[in-house]
Amino acid sequence: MKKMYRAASLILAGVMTASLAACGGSSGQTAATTAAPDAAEAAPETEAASEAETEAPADEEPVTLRFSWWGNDARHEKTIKVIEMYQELHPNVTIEAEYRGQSEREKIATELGSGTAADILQLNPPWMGDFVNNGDFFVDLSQYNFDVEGFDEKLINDYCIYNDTLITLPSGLNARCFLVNKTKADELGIAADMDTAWTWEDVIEIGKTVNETNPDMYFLNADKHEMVEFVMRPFIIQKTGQFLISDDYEMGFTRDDLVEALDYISRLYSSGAAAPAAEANVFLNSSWTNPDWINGDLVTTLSWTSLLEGATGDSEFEFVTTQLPMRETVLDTSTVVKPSQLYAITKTCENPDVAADFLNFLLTDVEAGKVLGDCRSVPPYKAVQDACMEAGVLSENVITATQYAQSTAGLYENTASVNEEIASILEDAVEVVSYDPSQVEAAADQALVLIEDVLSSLQ
Amino acid sequence: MKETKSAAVPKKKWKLRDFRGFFFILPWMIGFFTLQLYPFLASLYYSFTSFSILGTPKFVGLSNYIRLFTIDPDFKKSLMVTFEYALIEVPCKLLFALIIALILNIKIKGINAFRTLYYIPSILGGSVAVSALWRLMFMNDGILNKLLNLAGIPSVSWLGSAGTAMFVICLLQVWQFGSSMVLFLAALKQIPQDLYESASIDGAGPFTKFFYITLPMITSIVFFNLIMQTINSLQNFTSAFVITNGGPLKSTYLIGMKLYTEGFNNFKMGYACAISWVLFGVILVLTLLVFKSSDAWVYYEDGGDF
Repeated sequence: MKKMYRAASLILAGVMTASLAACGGSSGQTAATTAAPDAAEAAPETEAASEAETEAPADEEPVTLRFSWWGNDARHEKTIKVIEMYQELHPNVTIEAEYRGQSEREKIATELGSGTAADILQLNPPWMGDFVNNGDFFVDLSQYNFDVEGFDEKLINDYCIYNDTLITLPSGLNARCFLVNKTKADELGIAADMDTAWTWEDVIEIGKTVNETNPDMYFLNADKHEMVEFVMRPFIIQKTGQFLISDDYEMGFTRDDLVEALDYISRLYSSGAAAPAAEANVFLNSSWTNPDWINGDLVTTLSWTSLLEGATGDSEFEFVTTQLPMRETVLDTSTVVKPSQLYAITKTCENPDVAADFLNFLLTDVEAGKVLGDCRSVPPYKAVQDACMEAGVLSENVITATQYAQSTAGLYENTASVNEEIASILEDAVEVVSYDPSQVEAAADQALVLIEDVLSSLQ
Repeated sequence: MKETKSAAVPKKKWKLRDFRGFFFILPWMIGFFTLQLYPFLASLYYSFTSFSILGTPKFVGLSNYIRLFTIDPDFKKSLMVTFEYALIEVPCKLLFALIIALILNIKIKGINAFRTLYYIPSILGGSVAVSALWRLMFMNDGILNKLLNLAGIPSVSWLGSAGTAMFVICLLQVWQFGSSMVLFLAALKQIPQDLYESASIDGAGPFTKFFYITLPMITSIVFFNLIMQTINSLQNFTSAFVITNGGPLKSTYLIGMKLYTEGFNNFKMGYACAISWVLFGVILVLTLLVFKSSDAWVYYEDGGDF
């Protein structure tokens, strides 16, 4: 008996240590990757500090600013480089970089609520509705000498001015794009370039063939979030020609519109055109990291140009962008060009003038712009944009997709239409029909009840 | 008699030095008042208000609670999911912890090393890193499916279908059996050996001994573990949030996730507080029921009086 117990303990212990070794390995790896940028950051900072001692004019007071943003490694490295360039020019200013991998709206919201947010914030345009309605957190930027004329006027008017006050500036020009794995598309005999104009039905037809040719492959890689953002919303807006939700929180679509959109999405799944929800939703908000996308089994994805480089940079495949899927007849193209992100200075900032000066450098300095390149998509400031084009630091795909979107731009995205709570109600509806196509009507009814409830609380 | 006694005690004059005891427990008191009592009471107040984290609370009476039980379809769903989760997870965890404790209660060489090893998952288990690791293990191309394929079994969509996703998040909790196990082990050590000796003389086998001596003697610890683990599992959040994000089709949408979503995604902090108070009520009632039932099945050597 004792022997049996002993054997059992030994075996179980073996399993434990094996699983531990697995944990150890992975955590070690993450530690290494996170430590690397820190080290890279620390070294030049000390250099800058020693220069500061020799160059700093005595009359300028030392100023410390906190600048927070999110993004991938490339964006972190480039932004830190620009911070160093600014610190070299202004030795009395220290800018503390606070960067992270994901946008994390709840983190920024709690920080704003508690007054502990960084001085300069990178914000996501859809958040602004909630932030502006709930308080007065951001400095009026028009009091500083920004060359607002140098930015795209529509971008400033539609996305940067709230309650008649300029409180944000765009970090880049972001456009919806349809990204195709060209290598795989060629193999499958699908012609794809900027002249390709597919209808929504074409997407299903092509997707069906792809899946029939190779049952492991799917044409469209989209999680439920992307289904709402890039399929459902355009699908409805192209038909109605108006905002999904108007600025005074009225619904811009009917039950029939929603049923039609959900029915289309359920057919995307049932025809095998879209990757099954059970697989795609495991990589919610990070569909680029889906191994099937990385190894080319998923052929296309709908996304924003600001995410393009991070997603395709390390790939062995060649990628192209095409036109966005359209209906046969279209009231609004629903093609959107919006700021990649927005920069704002918080009211809790003690030196808003210095913060504004840094922001100005970040956005309008040509040299800084060349360093940043397309890490936040196409630069929004005309002079920087031209210089970057000339220097060839922008990716070909990002430029073509942005130019296409600018030439076909439709309605902008008002904050009500991208309300997070409504988006998650629509995502739930998409998820329901992705598992069971017979639930289209029921899912639409459920969603409408909940959306009306949310709207009534916002009105 | 009572009156004369109280009359005999002179009225005490409080001096500063009589309060020095408070000084020593001050660190705890500060923590208790600011980090426990204040949030506790504040959340009760917020639950009657409409409060986004960014603005100031507006009193709305019972409307948060009314919305919970009338309009909101996710609330009922998430309550049911949470009960289902607790019903699977708690018994499995206790059983598993007890079995391991029984194995580790045997006197063999190096037993302490084994005991330490088995406790390690409990130290690691609550973290996001481990939850992320589980997601990688159970995803479609994960190591588990690779192993199944090697054995000739087709892949299972662990996180993609409702039943298996619940299984995965339960398994993560069951894997953290360490603290329950240690308590069971301590209880097993407390059982007087002479009971087993006399049972052996009477011809009892190992199963009879277990069900008539071991189990009755450790019921007090079973009771304690049951209460603690039930409370823990009803409050669980991390595993569902990181591994499945509540999906698929909200089949793992625990009440903890619902609470987080309302508070931090939808900025309805008042509503989230109302949910947490309903959860508090549920836990309170369940705990009282278990306590009430304990008279019938828990054995205390000293009669169980405090």
